Order: sequence, then C-alpha cells, then structure tokens
Amino acid sequence: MPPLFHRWVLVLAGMLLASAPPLLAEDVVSPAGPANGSDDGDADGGNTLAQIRERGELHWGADAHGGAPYVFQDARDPSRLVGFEVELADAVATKLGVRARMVQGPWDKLLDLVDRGDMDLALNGLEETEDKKQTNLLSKPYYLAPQKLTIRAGDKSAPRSLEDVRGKAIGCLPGSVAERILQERGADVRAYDAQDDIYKDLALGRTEAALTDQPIAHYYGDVDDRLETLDEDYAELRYVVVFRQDDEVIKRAVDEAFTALADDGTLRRIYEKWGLWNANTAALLGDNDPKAHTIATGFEQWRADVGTRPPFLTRVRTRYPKMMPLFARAAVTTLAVSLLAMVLAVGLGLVVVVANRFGPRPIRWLAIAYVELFRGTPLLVQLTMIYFGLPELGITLSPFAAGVLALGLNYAAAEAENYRAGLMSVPDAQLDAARALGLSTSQAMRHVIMPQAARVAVPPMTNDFISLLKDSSLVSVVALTELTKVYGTLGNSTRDHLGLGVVVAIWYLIIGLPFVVLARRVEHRLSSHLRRDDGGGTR
Amino acid sequence: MIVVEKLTKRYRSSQPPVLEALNLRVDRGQISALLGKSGAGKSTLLRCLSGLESFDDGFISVGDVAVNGGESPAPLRGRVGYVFQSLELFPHLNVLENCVLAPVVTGLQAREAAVVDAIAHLTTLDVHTLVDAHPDSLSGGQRQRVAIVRALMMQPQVLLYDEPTSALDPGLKAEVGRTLKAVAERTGMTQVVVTHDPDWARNVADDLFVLENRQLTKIHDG
Repeated sequence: MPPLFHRWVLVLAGMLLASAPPLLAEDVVSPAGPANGSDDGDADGGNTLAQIRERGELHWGADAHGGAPYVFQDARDPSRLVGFEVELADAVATKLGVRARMVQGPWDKLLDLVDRGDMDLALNGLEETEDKKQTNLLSKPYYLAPQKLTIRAGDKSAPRSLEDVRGKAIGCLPGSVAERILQERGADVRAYDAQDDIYKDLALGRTEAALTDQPIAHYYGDVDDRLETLDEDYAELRYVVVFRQDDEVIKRAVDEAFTALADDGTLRRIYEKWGLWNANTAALLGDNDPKAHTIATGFEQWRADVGTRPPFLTRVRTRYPKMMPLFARAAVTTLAVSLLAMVLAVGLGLVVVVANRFGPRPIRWLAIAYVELFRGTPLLVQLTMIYFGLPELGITLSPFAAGVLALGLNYAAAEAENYRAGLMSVPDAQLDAARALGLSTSQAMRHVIMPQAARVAVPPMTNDFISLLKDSSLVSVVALTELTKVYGTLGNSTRDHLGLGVVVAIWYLIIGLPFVVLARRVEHRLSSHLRRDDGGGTR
Repeated sequence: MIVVEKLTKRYRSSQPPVLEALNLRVDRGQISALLGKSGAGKSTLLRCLSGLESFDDGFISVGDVAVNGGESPAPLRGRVGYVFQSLELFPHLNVLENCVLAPVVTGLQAREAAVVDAIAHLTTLDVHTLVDAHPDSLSGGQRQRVAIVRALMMQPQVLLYDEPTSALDPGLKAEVGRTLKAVAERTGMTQVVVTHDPDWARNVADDLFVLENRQLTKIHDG
C-alpha cells in the first residue's frame, strides 16, 4: 500500500492546498467569520469593550438560519444580511464608536458560543429567563414580544387558546419560552430549527397550531393565506442581549446605547420599519403612542419577495446566480473540512490498525476501545464535546479545527476497520513467504501485505469519503458555514426549500464526483493484474 | 549442510510434543526426502529448519549459523529458501517482480543485478517468457518453477520444499523432480523435500527419511 497510499494522500493534499486560500476569505453568511476563539476567548472581566474598541468591530452573534425579521439574507441580494436586529446591532455599534460584524452560530448554542469567546455578545431574539440570568449577564430588554398562536384558517378543531393545546401537535422553536409553555400544558411539542418549517408543517396539516413570538408569527404565519394568527397575546417575552457573566463593562455600555437609541427615536423607527411596533414595546421604551405611523417597508419588502415565490425557472434565472458566491464559498469550506478530516482519518486509522494488529496487549485493547468508542457514539455528540466541552479543560479550538478533528477522529475508526478487513483478506502464509525470503516483518508489511490489503480497503474508503463529505454538514453546529448551512439559511430567508435543495444537491455532486472518479481509477490500478494477463500462461 | 540435534517442538505446553529429541543431518549438495503420514510433523520440521517456527529444545544449524525461529536473525535471512506447498507467490507482482523483490528489499543485490540473475534462473527453469505475467495466469508447474526461482534469488545454502508434488499429475511430478535435480547440479545446493510419494522420492532424493512417532528414521541411503 505505501507507494499508492502516499500518492493518494499527496493527491488529497494537493487538492486541499489548491483550495485552501479562499478559506481565508471573509465568510459572507457570517460576515465576521467565526471569531478566532483564541484571541477573542478572553473571559477576563471587562476587557471585552476594550478589545472591541481596539479592533474597531463589535462581533455580535446571531443565527441567520432563524430567519426574518431578526437576521436574514436579502432575497434580492443574498450576500446582504438584513433584519431589525442587523439594524439594532449597527446602531449599538455606532454608539460604541465601532462597526458591527455578525458572527453566525446556531441559535440554541449562542450562549455557549458567547461563553467560549467566539463572539462578544449575542443579539438574536433571546428571551430573558431565570436560567439565562444564572449563567450569563443580560442587558435590559430592547423589545417586548407577546406569544402568538397561529392555526390553519377555518380549522374548526384547532386549539383557539392555550387551554386547548393538551395532547395536540404544536410547533415552536427549540429552547424557546413557547416550548416550555407547551410542555407545561401537556402539548405534543414539535420543535423546529427553522421558523419557516414551523408554518410549513402547520399549513400541510402535520401540526395543529404554532406558538411563537409575535414577530415570527407575523413574518411566517401572516404571509400565508392558509394560516390565521389569533388575536390573544400570551406570555410577553423580553428580548435581551446576552454577555459573558463577568462582562459588566460592555453590558453597561450596551444598556446606555439602548437608552440613547430609545430617546432619539432610533428604536421606534427600526421597529416601525419592520412592522414590529407594539403597545408592549412602546410602554417599555416610555413612548405613549402604541400606534405605528410609517409604512413597514421592511415587512412589505419581505412579503413581496417571499410571500409568493416566483416560478422555478425565474428563480433559476434571477435569484440563484446571485446565491452562487455564497454556495461556492461554503463548498470550499465543506471540501476543506472534509479533505483535511479524511487525511487525518486515513493516517490515524493506519496507526490504530497497526496498534490493533501488532501492538502489545494493552495497546491492542486501546485500539479496539478507540474504534468501538468512536464508531459506537454519534458524531454530533463527539463534535459537541470537542467544541463546547474541551474549553472546560482549557482547550479552545477554532470551529474549523474542531470540525476537522471531530470528523477525522470519527472516520479514523471506520478507516481502521477498512484496513483491518484488508489485512485479514491477505492469507497469513503470505507473511510467512515474505519472511522466509528474508524480509523483516516491516518490509513484508510494506511490500507484500499492504499492497494486497489496499485492494480490499480502498473501495470502502471511497464510500467513506463521500459519507464524510455529507457528514461535514454537522459542523454547522459549531458555527462553521458550509453547504448545508447556507442551504438552510437561504431556504429560510427566501422560503424556497425545494429549488435551493436542487441547487445544494448539485453542489455536493460537483465536489464529490471528482473523488469518485479518482477512486475508480485507483481501484482499477490496484486490481489491474487481475485483468491484464491472459497471455503468457497456460493454465 | 544441515544439522539437527535433539529437536523438540510443542505447540502447547499441555500437549505432547510434535517432534521429540529428533536428529537429522543432511550433507551439502544432497537432496533428502521426508516421508510420513499427514500430521506426523513434516511441515513443522521444515518450518523449524527455516526459522519460521520457534522450538522448545535442541539445536539446529544451517552452515555455521544457528537457527532460533521467530523473527529470523540477520545472518539467517535468505540462507534457507522455502517453497511452500501453496507456493505463496505474491499475486500483486508479476513473475519478475516476485523474483527480484527480496534480494532488492533486503539489500542483497542492486535491482539491475537481481534482474539479470532472475532472468538467468527463469531461463534455466524454462519460464523466462513469463516475466511479465502475474501468478494467477500461470499453470501449476509454471508457478512451482517461479516459486523455486524466487527462493533461489536469495542465494540460499539450503532449499526446503513442502509437498511440491501434491495435486500434480504424473507428468508434472516428473518435471518437478527434474527441476530439483537441475538445481542440485547447477548450484550444488542442499535440498530437503517433504512428500507423500515414496516412488517419486526414491527417484529424486539421495536420502529418504520417514517421520514417525516424532522421530526420523533413515530408510534409504543414496
């Protein structure tokens, strides 16, 4: 195997190098790019504001996957992030004398990402709760949102109040106050990562109702004629900015900025533009006029862009081309993570199988334990432990490194098993024959056993690489923007899941196919002698 | 020359030995045949001689070098050639590469010299036209001869054969016999052959031994 193995690795490494530079390019979906954990990871009370001023940028965390009206991609120009919180962050940053840069992270992991130091603060429809107060510092509320129940229009059996939700399938966001309310009331809770999915499933009859914050109900429920949002308000939510527990200085600065923005009318202007001005928020900001007086241009734009989708071919002509740079950059991330992880898996797998086959007994047990541990537990658990768990031990990895490490460690177990199957396919007598010829065990492995084992091991390795390419979608949980994440955020921002699904599928095929072809060639070479000789011998 | 004195071999300490206090002496340039029933320990003796198998007691030497078994000590490497019953040619390499791999990898010869030698040996055994063929495409007799050439390439002092005639038709058996004699004539090499076929052995070997009850008995003295 070694000569061929080396070539295989070289080819992978070459392709990786060729694709590496764009990695450094700015990530469009998360314009800040994930902040470097090491230089931002300071939890040294109060220093954050100084750091923000020094770098001239406020790194604020949010999840564009969540969608409108918070932070989402402009359907007309998907490289632009829009939303009322984008404008809030800009306004706060301006008050602090810096620019705002959004850092993408999964919504239900934003607090962890703040604690890890990946972002200075999180500003993304985060509700004030007692739990959050225990672990983090919270700003004063910047917006008040009642919970709204949405049902299918004219559905007689639908729940019309929270009294009726017991035993009924109700959609909500995971980790939200709505989810807790529904659980307390004995509903059959269906939590969705993307806001659009909550209302899609409701319209399709998969759930009976949806309970979300008013802005979400307004943007995803009210734009669909098949749905109806009920008037009654439930459980007023207070949106707050989340900081690290000891970041008192930045918290005070942000609170002061909000006060100033309320006083000069900026907050009201932003909320009116996005159709979010309500009596609760008016009271919060000390404004006696609960009625909006300007046209909600943000909401109207949204309704025009995504309320009714243009036909597929129109989208192919006008919308999708603008999204291609986003997909292309995400594809580079996907490819880079996958290639590096595979190189790690191929190398580490070899170490594991050598330890398993030739090591002393304790080493053999370790190798077996490694394979069983990484093969027998979900990749998502491993990834979460590496990214969010290791910092507890003082090891803070960047999202990219954590993604590569988790995928590499996981697939090393699979590769070790592939090699083992390959080695087992070579009769022991081949090793005897090589040793009888005077070869040392390592020479015999290299020149006799490995090349034969490779014929068996390489085909499943190809499959593994394609699987790894697809599993790399899991790294979006560690704030890495790869293909599936871009698909999710764009799909949610434009409410176009089918058409964009075709687009992202094509991207996966484009980046996966060259490796399938390469692997076929390698397999062909490895087994070439099985076809080559039909002359010469007289069987 | 091979000297075996009081060789005892057990596979498990709880079981009776396969070979017990066995003695053997084969002089240089001789062909010796080992006969015996299946399971008598013929292959075990051969593996002990080749250094592939360790043993519990006794002494083996090939030329002036003691054989210990296990990972073969450097002086022994290649000193004892072994032609396996199943031949064990390397299926991923063609005939020429099968022959030159060991001398080149172990540093015995430079590649160019090894290729010249291999072609000379292959020509002697009349398989030189098959240099580019892979083992899978060869006949049984051709494979046998390639396996012998592969063993000869390490310039051994002794060549061991494990049942080289099993599963061969009478014509091929005679061919293998001629090959052994040709090797003896051209190289003066000491050869030990394990076989089930007494008639064939009488035709080919100088000495015949029977392995029975863990001991060797000489039954024919050339």
